[in-house]
Amino acid sequence: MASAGSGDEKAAAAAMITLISSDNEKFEVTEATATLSQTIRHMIEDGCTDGGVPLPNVTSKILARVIEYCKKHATAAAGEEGSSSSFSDAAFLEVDRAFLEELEEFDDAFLEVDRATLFDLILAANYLDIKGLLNLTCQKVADSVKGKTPEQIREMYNIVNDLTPEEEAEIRRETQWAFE
Amino acid sequence: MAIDAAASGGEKKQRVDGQGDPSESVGVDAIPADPISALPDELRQRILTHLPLKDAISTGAVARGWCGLWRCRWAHRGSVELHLRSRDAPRIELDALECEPRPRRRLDRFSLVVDTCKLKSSELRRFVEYAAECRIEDLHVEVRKTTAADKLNFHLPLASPLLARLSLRRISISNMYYKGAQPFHALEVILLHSVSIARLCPNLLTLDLRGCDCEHLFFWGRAMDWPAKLRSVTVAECDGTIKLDLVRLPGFVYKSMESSLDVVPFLLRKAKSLQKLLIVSPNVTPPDVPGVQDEDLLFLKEALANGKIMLSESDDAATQPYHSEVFIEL
Repeated sequence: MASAGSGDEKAAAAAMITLISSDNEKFEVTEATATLSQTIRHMIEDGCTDGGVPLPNVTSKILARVIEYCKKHATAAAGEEGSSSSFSDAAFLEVDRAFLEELEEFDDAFLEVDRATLFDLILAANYLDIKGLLNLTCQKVADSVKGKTPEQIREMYNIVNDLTPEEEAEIRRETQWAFE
Repeated sequence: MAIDAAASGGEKKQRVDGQGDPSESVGVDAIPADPISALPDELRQRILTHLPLKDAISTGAVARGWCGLWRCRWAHRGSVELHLRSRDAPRIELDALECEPRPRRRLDRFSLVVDTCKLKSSELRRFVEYAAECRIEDLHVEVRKTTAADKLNFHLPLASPLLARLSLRRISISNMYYKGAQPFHALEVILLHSVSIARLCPNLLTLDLRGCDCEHLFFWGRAMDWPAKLRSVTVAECDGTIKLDLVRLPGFVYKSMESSLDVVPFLLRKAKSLQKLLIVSPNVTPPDVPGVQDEDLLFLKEALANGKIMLSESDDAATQPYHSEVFIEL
């Protein structure tokens, strides 16, 4: 079972996919890395990745970050598969835990970006359909909003308040408890 | 294999650290105007799913493009409102809810209006358990038929970690806190209309009691702290005894024969954030307040520094300086 799993992985690792950013930069990645993106996975399944996968919505700067995330998490996914086949082995569990911690550290460091990059990452994660990355980045934005008043949110994100005072009062009245 | 993976992960981590370079973090101030509102609705809704309901709602007042966005933050219906009218309704609705797959969908709000005498307490408990399994944040239970209300007892679920707002109307609560219950850390607002209750929650902000039967309404034992963040208490049209029993101020008892409103100590040692305590009763006679100990008044002073306390118009001379706005609304 375990050997079959790693055999598959080797086969997948051998297959390389070329991703092409909007500014025409080419990135060679393993299929295991690329298929964290459901969008690319479907392209591979449909056999339309020859000659590279053009990603006109993603700049090279953002694509580089996305690939960095996928590489790390593809390794993590492979690691989980490996340890799950020997779940009774305490040593593997230990490795597993250390690995999860490391992954968390990776995610935290990965999110140390400016806001513009963060929003670009959200758009890219959505377009490429990478669930983990989308959750991670959306959580980061949500955390920045948590516990803030509407005024503070506006200020933080340069949002222009286009509500009339009456409209805003009405909104606050509807669900008053949330504004106390 | 896992060991190899971990090792190669370590190498990569160093590169990550290298890439999280300061040049990327500068220019935070130079963001283009409003990138968050430029996100498609679908993505902003996804962000809202990562927020507590209260925070999600408050984004609705940010700008026009955010109004009501929170209402459809879940791909499924985020709010369930049941109105039980017929005798078969409880069973039918329960069957429908309980056959939903686990883990349950996330729900923002669950509202149950009981308009039939045929709901059993055990069924009510199953509705509430269902809501808790959906990690409900706003729970409303209301009984319209008094005959049903007489026999129905509301029980909080053993655990509902996200519950932020509880609103009950015309239903009795036999015991708010019982063995095995997990603290409701998220609970900030309790609205009770014609209800009797026993014991409350640590993060309460607002307590609003109207038309309640206050016999043994609530009781804070000596070991229990007054909710530290409580900002507003309103008691209106209530009969019975209200005991806020934390610091017994000797003789500091407000009593009205006709309404039998009996408030033991108003201002409490640990109620530092209390901003408003409003007692409204239709038949209040001037309270009889004998002298109060000086050390008790220190607690009053501390509590008053934060807000407005409304008591009666005729406190004795010792308490007057601490009651700048003293009246009972008749």
